Amino acid sequence: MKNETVAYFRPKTISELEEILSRVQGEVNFLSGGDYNFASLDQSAPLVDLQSLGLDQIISNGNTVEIGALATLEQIKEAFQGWDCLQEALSIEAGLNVRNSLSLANFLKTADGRSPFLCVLLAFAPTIALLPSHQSMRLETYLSSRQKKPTEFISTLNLALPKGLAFEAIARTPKDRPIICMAAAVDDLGKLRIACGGMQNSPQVINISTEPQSAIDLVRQAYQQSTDAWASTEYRQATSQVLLSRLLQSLGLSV
Amino acid sequence: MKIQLEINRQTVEVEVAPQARLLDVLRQVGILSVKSGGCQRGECGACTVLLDGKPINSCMLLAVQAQGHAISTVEAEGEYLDQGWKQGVGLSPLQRAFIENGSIQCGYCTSAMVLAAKALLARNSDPSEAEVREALSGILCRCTAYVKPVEAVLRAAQLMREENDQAAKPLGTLKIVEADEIPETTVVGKAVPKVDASKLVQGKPAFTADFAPTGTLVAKVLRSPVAHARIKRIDATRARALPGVAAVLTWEDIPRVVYSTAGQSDPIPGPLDTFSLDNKVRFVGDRVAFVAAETEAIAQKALELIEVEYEELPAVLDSREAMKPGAPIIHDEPEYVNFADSDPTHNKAAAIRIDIGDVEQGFAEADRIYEQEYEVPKVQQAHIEPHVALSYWDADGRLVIYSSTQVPFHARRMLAPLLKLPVKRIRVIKPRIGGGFGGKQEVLIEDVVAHLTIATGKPVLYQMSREEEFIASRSRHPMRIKMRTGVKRDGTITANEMIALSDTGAYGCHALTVTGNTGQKSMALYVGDGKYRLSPNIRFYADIVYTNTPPAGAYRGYGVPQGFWPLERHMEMIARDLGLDPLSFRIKNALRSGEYQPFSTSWNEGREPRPEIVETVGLEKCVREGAQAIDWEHKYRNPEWHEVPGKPHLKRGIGVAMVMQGTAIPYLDMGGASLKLNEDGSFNLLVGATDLGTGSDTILAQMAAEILGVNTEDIIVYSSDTDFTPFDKGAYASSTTYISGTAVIKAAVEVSEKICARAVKMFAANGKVVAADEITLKEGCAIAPDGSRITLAEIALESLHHAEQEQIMAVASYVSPSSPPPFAAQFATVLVDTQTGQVQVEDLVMAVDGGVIINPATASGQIEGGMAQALGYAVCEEMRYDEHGVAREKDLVDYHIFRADEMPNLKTIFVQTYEPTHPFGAKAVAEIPMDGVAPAVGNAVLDACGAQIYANPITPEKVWESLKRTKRG
Repeated sequence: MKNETVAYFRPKTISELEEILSRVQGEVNFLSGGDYNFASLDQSAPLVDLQSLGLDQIISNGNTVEIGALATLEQIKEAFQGWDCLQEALSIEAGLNVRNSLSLANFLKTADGRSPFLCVLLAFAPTIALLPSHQSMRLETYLSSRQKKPTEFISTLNLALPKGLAFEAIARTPKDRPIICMAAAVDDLGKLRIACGGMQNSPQVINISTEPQSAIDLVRQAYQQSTDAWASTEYRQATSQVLLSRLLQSLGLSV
Repeated sequence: MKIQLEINRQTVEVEVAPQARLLDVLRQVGILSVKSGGCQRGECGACTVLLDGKPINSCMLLAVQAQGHAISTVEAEGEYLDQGWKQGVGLSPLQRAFIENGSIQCGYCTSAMVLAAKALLARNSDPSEAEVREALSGILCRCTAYVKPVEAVLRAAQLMREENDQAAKPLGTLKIVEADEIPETTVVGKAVPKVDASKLVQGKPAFTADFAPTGTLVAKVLRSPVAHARIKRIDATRARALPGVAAVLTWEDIPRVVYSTAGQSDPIPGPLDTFSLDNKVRFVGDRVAFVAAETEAIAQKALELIEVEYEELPAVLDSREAMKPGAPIIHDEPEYVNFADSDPTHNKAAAIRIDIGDVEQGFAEADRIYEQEYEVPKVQQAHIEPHVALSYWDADGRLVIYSSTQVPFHARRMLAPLLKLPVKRIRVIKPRIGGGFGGKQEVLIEDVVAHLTIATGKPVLYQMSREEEFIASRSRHPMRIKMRTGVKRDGTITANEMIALSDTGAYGCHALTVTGNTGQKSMALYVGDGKYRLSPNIRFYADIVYTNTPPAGAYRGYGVPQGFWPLERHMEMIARDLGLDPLSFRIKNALRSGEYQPFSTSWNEGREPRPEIVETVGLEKCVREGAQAIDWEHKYRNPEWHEVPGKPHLKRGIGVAMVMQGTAIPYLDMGGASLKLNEDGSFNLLVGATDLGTGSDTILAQMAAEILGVNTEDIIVYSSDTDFTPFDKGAYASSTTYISGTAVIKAAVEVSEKICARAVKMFAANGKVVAADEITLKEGCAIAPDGSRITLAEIALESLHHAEQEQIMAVASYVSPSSPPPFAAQFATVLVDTQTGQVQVEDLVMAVDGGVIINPATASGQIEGGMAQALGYAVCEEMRYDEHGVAREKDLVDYHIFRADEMPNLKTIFVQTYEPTHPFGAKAVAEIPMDGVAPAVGNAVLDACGAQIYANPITPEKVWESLKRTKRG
C-alpha cells in the first residue's frame, strides 16, 4: 500500500489549474491550506495544491471586500482592523496557530453552526465564487449544499461592508465554542440581517426588511427545535431574545 | 516522491509519501521537538513550527505543501553553551527565560511555546501581557496555567531589549509566608531550575515516541462501536493479508489472563475484571483487536478489514440503573476475581461503609438538619502527550518497554503474567512524560505493544489518538452524592453524612480507592466543635457500580474533588441559612493540629486502619492570607462591589472553599534511592520516582544537594528504569516529595557520613584531628571547624583510587507511617450575566499549607496548573454520552480546556508549616489545587445572583435555570 503513484500538482495560474483538471480524470484532493483531516483524503486521488494561485489576497474596494479563499483566518483578522466583532469571533473560533494555518476555503468547507466566525460572516451577506466552474452563489446556499468530496473549490468570498455590525455569544468560557451566538448587520438602507448560530450545521440567516420588531419572532423561530447535546430549545429561545436586544442596542436600533 | 524542505536554514531532501503530514516528515528527519498531541483539528498546537516566521500546526499541512517555505523549529533556537572543547552558542534569551522562571513542567508543549513567542518578539519587541497570551493562544498547556510561560516571554522581551540590568522578573503571582521554626537551608527552599529544563527547552529527544528505532511498526487498536456485546465472530484474514501488516491479534490469539489496569501496589485493591482482549465488549471504545503494520495508514486500513460480528446486549448507561434487579450484568466472566465487597452479579465493583462515632445520635442532637443531593461529572486528564508506549526485544531476549507511565514498576509486575514472561525478562523505562495527572497511573497500553512485539519480533510503537484518549482511556469518576448534615444554631456540626453513588464505567480500576478518598479526605475536614471535636460523628457510604461507559480511574485529586464539591457547596448553604460568616463557620468546625484524622481510625483502603494524628494544620492562616489577597472584607456583603455600573444584568460574587488532601499512603507507599559519589565530586542519584513534569527529579536533587553541600548541578538524576533504579511505587497520591524524598535524604545522609569518615582520615593524614560530626559539607567540600577544607573531588579520588578503596554510595528506601494532609483556602470571584447565565471567573486565589516548600517555582507551578484544571471542572469540562453510549466529547474543541488568552487572574500563597514527620518539613502540593476551585466558584455564583447549582460544571444554562426557578419562587 504505497502512495508513490499519487500525483501532486501546484499550479501557478488558473489556466494551468484548468489544464491539470482536464488532464486528471476522476476525483482530486484540493489542498487549500490548513487541511486537518488528511485521513479522509481519497488516498489514490491526485493532490492539487492551490497555494500558488495568488488566491490569498484581501482586496478592499470602497465598500466591498474580496477575500481570496486561500487567505488564512489570521490574515482576515488582521485585514479587518476596527471590526471588533469580527475579530472577536475569529479569536473565539481558534487560537493563533490554527488561524495561521487554516484558509478561508477550508474553514468554509468544515465550519458548522457553532462557529462564531461563520455566524459573523453570514451577517455580511457574502457571496462566493467557485472554481473551476466560475459559478457564484450566496454563502448560505453553498453551506446548505456542501459536499464531502467537492469537485470544486471556493476561490473568493465577496462582501459588502455594512453600516453596523454586532456580535453576541454565550459560552462556558470566554474562548469556548458558543452555545448560542448571533451576529447582526445593518446596511445603509437600514435593512437588518441576523445570523443565528450555536447549533446545527450552519447558522440560520434572517433578513429583516421591515421593522426590527419582527425580528423577535423570527429569531425565536430560528431556535425552534434547537435542542442538542449542548443546550435546550427553551434556553436558546429565551437567551436569543436577550442577545437580539443587545445586538439591536449596539446597532442603535430598538425593538 | 522526493521533496526539498528548508528546515532551519538547511535544505533537506527527503523521500515522502505525497499524503505525509509535515509533522510526520519532520520527525522522520530527526526534528523531534515537534510533538503530536494526537488531535485531528490542530487544536493542541504541540506540533507548532514556524512557517515563514509564523506559528502554524505541522499536523495541518502536508510536507509537500511546505516546499518553498522556510521551516523553523526549536532545534535552531539555541544550544548548550559548554560542549567540552567546543563552545556552543548557548541558549537563546527565550529559552533561558523559560528555564529560569520555571515555565517548563512536562515540557511537551515547551518547544511550541518558545516558537510562538519567538514569532511574536520578532515583530513586537515590547509586547503587552495580552499580546503574549494571544501569541500563545494556539498552544494548549495542561500543566502551567500559562502563568510562568507568559512571564518568561515578557522577561525574554526585556532581555532582548537589552534591559539586562534589571533583576529577573519575580514570580509576581506567588507569595510565601514563612514560618519561624523552619531551619536555614541553602538549596532547599530555592527556586532552582529544573534539572531537565535545558533538554526540554531545546526539544531534545526525551519522550517515549522519540526513542522509536528505524523500522518500528505502528500499532493501532480496533475499538468497539457498541456499548455492550459479545463478539460472535471475528475474522482478521483480510487484514492479515494486507501488504505491510505484520500482525493482527484478536482475543483468540493471546493468553486469557484476568487483571486490573490500575497501577497500584500489590495486591491491587480492586477487582480483577479486565483482559488484554476479550470476546465481550463493555463500552463504545473497548478493545476488539490489535494491529501492527509498517505505516499508520496501513494499520488503519487493516482495522477496516477486520470482520466482527457483534451480538448486542442491553447496556447500562446510568449509574442509578446499574444495581436494579434485572439490570444487564456487565461482568459475567468466570475468571472475575472479587476484592472486598465487589459483586459483579449486581454490577457492584466496590462498596464502602464507614461510620465514625454515633452518627444517628449526632443528628438527634442537631437543631437543624440540612439535606441535598449533588452531582459531579466525568472529566478527562487531557495530558497533551497521549498515552504512548514502545516495545522491542533486546539482544538478550528481554522485552524493553518505553512508556509514558507514572508507574513503571507496577507496569513491569502487572505485565509479566499477561505476557507469560517472568518479571526479570521485562525492563520498563519511563522517559520524560508529557503530562499524566493520574491518567498514566494505569497499565493502559503497554500490553498492546508488548503482545505485538511478541507476535512480530519487531519494535512496535503505539500512540493513542486524541479521540482514543476520550473514548478509551481513563477519567474522573462521576458521582451522585447525598449530603446530610446536623448543625446546632451556633454553627457546631453535630453529624455529617455523605452517601455516594460512584460510576466506575466498564471496569473497576481504582473503583474502591478513588471513591474511598472521596469520603476519607473531604469528610475528615469538618469534625465539629466542642465535644464533637473530641468524638466526631461522620458517615461515609458508597456504592461503586459498573456501567457500559468508558472506565473511570485515577485523576489528580483521586476522588477528593468529587467530595469537596458537595461538601463545600453544602457548608455554604448551611452558613448562609444560619446567617453565619462562611469563613468563621468553617474554621470553627475544621480539623486542628494534634487531632486524629478521623478516618484513620476506621478505614484504610481495605486494609487494617492505623490511627494517625495530624501534626500541622495551617488552614486558619491560609484563610487569613487568602482573604486578604482577594480583599474579602471589602467585597463580601458589600452591595456596591457586587454591582457593575451601567450594567444591571451583571453581578459580581465572591466565594470560598476550604480543602484538605493527603500526602502519600501510609504503611504502603515505598520509594527507593541510590546515590554514589563520582571522581569530580558530583553524584549520581538513581530513583524509581516518576517525574511526570512536576519537577520531582529536581526537588529530589535539591534535597540530596542540601545534605551533601553541593549544587543541584552536581546531582545527576536518573529516574524510573526498572533495570537500573531502585523500586518506587510511582507518581501518585502526592507522595514523591514526602516518600521518595525521604528515601533520597536517607541515602544522602548515609553518603554524607561516609564522606565525613573519609575526610576525617584525610584531615588526619595532614596532621589535623577532626571528628566526623564536626565536619560540615558545604560548597562541594568537607570543612573542618577551623575552616580548612577538602574538596569532594579529592575525597572521591582518594576513596576510588588511592587508599582503602571503596565506592562511597548508599541505597535507601522509605515507607511512612504518616500521611500528613496539606490544607488550603480557595477563593474565587466571578461575574455573572443574570440574563443569560454566563459566568466569567475573574480571580482565583489559593492559600496552601503544603508544609515547607522545597522549590517555590515548581510548587507554585503545581498550584497554578492545578487551579486551571480545576477551573475547567468548575465551568466547562464534562464527558457526556448519548443513549447508545457514544461520547459527545472526542477532541479538545468540544472538550474545552482553558487557553492562554482566557485565563482569570491567579494568585498562589504558600503558608508554610514545618511538618515534623518529614526531614525538611514538607507535605504535598500537587493534588490539593484540584479540590477547591469548583465549589468556590459555585459559592461565588450563589453570592453573585442567588443561583444554586448542585451539579458542576456550572454552565450558563444551569445558572439560567436556577435563576428562573428562583424567580418563579
